[in-house]
Amino acid sequence: MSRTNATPHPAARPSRALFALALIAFAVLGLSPLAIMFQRLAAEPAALETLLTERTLTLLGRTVALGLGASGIALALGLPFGFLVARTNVFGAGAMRALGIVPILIPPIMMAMTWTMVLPLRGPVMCALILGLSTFPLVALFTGRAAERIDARREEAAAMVGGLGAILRMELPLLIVPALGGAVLAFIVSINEFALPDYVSAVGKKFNVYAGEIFSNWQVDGNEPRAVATALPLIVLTLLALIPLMALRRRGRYSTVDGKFVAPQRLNLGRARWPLTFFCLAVVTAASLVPVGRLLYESGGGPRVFGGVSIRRAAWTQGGGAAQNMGTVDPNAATETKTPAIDAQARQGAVQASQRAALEAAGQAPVAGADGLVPQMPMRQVDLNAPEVKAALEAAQEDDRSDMGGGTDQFIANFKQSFSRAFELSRESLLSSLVFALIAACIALPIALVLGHAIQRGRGGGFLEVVTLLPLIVPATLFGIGTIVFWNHEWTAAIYDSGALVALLFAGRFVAVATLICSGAVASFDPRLEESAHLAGAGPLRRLFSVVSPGVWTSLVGAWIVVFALSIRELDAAVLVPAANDTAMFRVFNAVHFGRDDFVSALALLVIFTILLPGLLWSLFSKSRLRILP
Amino acid sequence: MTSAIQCTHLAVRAGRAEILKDISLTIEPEEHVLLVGPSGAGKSTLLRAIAGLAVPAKGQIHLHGELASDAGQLVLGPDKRKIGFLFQGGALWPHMSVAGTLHFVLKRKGLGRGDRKRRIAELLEIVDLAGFEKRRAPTLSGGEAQRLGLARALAAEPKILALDEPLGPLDAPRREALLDQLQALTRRFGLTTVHVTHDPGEAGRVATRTITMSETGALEG
Repeated sequence: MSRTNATPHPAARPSRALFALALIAFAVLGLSPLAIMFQRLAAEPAALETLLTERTLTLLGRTVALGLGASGIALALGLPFGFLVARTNVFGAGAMRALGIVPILIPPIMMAMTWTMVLPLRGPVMCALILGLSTFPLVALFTGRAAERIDARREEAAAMVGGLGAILRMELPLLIVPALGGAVLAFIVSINEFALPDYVSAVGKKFNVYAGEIFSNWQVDGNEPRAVATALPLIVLTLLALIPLMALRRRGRYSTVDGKFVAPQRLNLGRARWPLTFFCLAVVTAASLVPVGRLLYESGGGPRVFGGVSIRRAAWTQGGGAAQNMGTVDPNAATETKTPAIDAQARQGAVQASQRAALEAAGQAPVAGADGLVPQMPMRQVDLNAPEVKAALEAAQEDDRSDMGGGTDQFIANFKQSFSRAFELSRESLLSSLVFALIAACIALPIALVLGHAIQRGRGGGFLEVVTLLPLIVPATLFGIGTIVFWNHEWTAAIYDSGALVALLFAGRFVAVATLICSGAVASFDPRLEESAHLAGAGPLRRLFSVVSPGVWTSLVGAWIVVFALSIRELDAAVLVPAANDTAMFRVFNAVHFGRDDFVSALALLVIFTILLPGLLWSLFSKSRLRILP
Repeated sequence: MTSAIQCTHLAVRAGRAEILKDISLTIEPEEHVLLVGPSGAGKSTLLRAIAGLAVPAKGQIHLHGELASDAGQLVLGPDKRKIGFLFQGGALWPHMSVAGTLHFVLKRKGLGRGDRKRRIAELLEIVDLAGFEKRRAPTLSGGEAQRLGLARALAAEPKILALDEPLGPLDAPRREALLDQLQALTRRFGLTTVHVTHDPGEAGRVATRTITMSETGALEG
């Protein structure tokens, strides 16, 4: 993804008109939501005072620790895994390499739903573990791709010196750079994650992170300047993480190839083949197979049929059940659950909100909780002794008992029933998600192609590259609030009130990812091919669409698929936009607290399947390999 | 006297394609054998099989009387064959300095810190790269890169020197200079040299024997 060289190729420069169009589209979709939020902050600088509180520093410290823990786990797993599946003769390397990408596509909240069943860990340790498992593919992808780009002759020269040991010693410095780049991305993803810590808090000890604070500060009274001010430390942290990433990318050029390249062969691990195969298998099992397997088990009512702890039981009994009131609970969710506890919770939430409003009106600060932090949002504190909750639990237990001992037949019957129920109740949500993601990917791709090409071939590409990253480096919650503020006007009401806003939100946020993929693809594309087309009389438009695009088409498809997948799994920003309340991810988020386990699990699996669908179709019907990294 | 290299009924495959077919060849110690032939004849494949970088499907390779490769398996790994390999284009490690490259090889040979430092200075003196210790591989010119590649090959104290189109990227004066250097070094260290090139005139003056490989893989000479 680095620029090919310092001097652009004049004969391969992009079309000015096309570039201007793409830039305008990018500015509207990706930059305007940010610009308007910072403009609000500039108008009310007093909001910055919120940054100087002890709470802010405590939360920031926690969030950094969480990011470091998660990226450390991602590095420890991703570096060896990426190298082993890409370059060695571990058994089933190809299949494990494909499965190794799956965790980054599974929404972290779904990983949390399953891992909180498997391990008794809660709080920051569980969050770091899940985020590490979720983001290790970033490290593995970068490592694997770099390992493939080491010229065979360089490797053979090391083999002549000291066999496999010398090869590994020689290659480690070449691989550690891209691996650290992946770990930095894992850090950025982790510090901006908000739904996962929220869920883990709901099933155990409360664990606030900073990303939730932005939403809370906006939610309290719709104070936009305060939301931006709150987001600033996270933006600074992300930028601080990006500086080493950019430096690492420059150093990462060592691992790129020039001139005549001889592809390396798979390395023979000898006696270490079996143990290292088991290591890879363990990583894939923990990050992909356990979450999907557990969801399948839950879909068939496994804990009820065969015994064990269910998602709902964990959510209700393991940690006092501090489910946060996001202000987003769909009352219709009650139709998806047999428990009336939601009503009790709603009443408790309303009481707490009114108590809080009274406290604030009286000028009193809310009381600090056991964790030393003052809850900023009205909390739904579940009282397990409340008659409504007791009745709900008893009803749930009775429901569970009805399936006990049913064996495999009962499991299969439940499985079919939960999937048909999930599909029936969520068909429209799934369809909405699908449509939003399709439109977002189709909007983002042409913009990304033009901008990616301009980054490599135009003037000021380095600056443009940083600008295109902006929508991605701000917290999703801030981008979501900015989108609402930007489009919430009389003359844009038609867009604001429709699903179009969701598609525009996704396109604006993820066009940066597509641009990076396109830019990387163009960097690997020989500029002399464009120059020769120029000499043959082809204009910039024809060169872009008739020469460059066919040459990098597997990367274009890759960019499209990545934007599609990210759009389907997006929750943190979507949770704020009213029109996005109809997405499948939003429905899972709601149902995970209050819905039936089998329904939630079946719906989660349907969402995962939808995310993976384009990639699966591609691998089934295309002989070409998708190129996400250059 | 035991032959330095003895290949018997050697066959090497790449997938289903047979690159080398029934090759038998004997090279005596301290010979400088020029292996010539058109592109695709299998010259580099033969060199790689001798070095242990390719596994023969059939036949055997003996190095100084010891079985090194047997049909379908490497009896001796590439690092156990006492072969120094000068790759086409150098194949230098891009993240290492000149001294770091040699340090890497010598450390694998078990030399202590002081000995390594002394040996690096010696090797750089031999290949006329003294003063280049801190330069990184990508900053070297074509000739300098090949000379570092040569120093790397010599660092392992080989008995056999395998040269794969070593003069390819160099201009005429640098070719002549490197050839002179190669001749002097092979004589000084008593090395057996297998030199692959597609240009028979390239190194004719330093070779003791020329073997021509035809497109069918047959050997002459």
